[in-house]
Amino acid sequence: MSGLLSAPVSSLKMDNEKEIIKNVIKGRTDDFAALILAHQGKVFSICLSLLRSPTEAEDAAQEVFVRAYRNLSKFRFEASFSTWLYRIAYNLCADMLKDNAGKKQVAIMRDIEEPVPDGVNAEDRLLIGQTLAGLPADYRAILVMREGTGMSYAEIASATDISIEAVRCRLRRARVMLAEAGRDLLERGKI
Amino acid sequence: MACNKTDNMFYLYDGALSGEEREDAEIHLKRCAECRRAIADWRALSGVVFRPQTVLISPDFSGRVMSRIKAEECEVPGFFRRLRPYFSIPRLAAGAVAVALLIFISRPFLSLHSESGIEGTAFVAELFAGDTAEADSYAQASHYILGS
Repeated sequence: MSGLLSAPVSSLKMDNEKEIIKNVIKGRTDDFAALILAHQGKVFSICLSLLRSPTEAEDAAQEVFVRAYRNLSKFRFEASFSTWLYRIAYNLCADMLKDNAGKKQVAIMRDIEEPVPDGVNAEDRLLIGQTLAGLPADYRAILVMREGTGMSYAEIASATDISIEAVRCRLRRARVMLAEAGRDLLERGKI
Repeated sequence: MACNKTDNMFYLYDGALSGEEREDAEIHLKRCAECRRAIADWRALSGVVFRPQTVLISPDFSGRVMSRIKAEECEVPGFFRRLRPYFSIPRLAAGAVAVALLIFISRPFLSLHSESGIEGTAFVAELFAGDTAEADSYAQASHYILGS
């Protein structure tokens, strides 16, 4: 794992994106690279939030784009391309978690580099990492979709195949859990 | 979260409120110190946990995905690759339904010939209303095509 991706390398406008998708379907395979560059950061974030292993998240993100390419002709432009992509990511990672049930938790903390500020010491770093890792996978994913990628409730509902009310409910619970864990850091002025 | 409107403040924070609900929430947030603190604390925590610059991904990620896609493409000849969008499962299913419907619609014609040539001839005779020469040639052609 090397390199740092601060944000999506490029953000495509909806019309451009539609045009690119149509071109790829017509056979201009190389144009698909633009779609990857525009969405790889968020797709990777979602995979990472669910799988908690950067290596596995990157493999999963790769698989997401390959599946998206294979099924691009089925994309009907009814939802946004990003929502469709995140739905593939969510379903793929959920399947991977089911397949790996039981084995996963061991690997989680070993190779995860938790996102924490420079001033936070190793102990606090571990606390934040453990808290986030301790949330149920679907709660983590919804939190990342909302906080990390800025998706709306409707987009999250579409990507995870649950109702908007369920999104609100899980988001609220996930925030309470994370806030509880972060309370100590807040009180000590670490954040 | 002691204030019972804190949840609403988070909907406001998420940009999920509009119109009157949004205005009400904004007014409440200005007045309620507890809600302001809850949102401020969450914003601080979220800023740490979900900082976008901490997302790590290999710099050649897109290149590797494209290599994999192109490798898969090489396995499918160009002609079939262009046809692939037309052979999706829904389209194949629609095709199968159309064929089944065609067979169902043409069943009366097929069964007349398969049961007996006499009924078939009578039907053809009615169809051509007395033009026996044309009816005979149609019946012969039908027997030839249907093999009955």
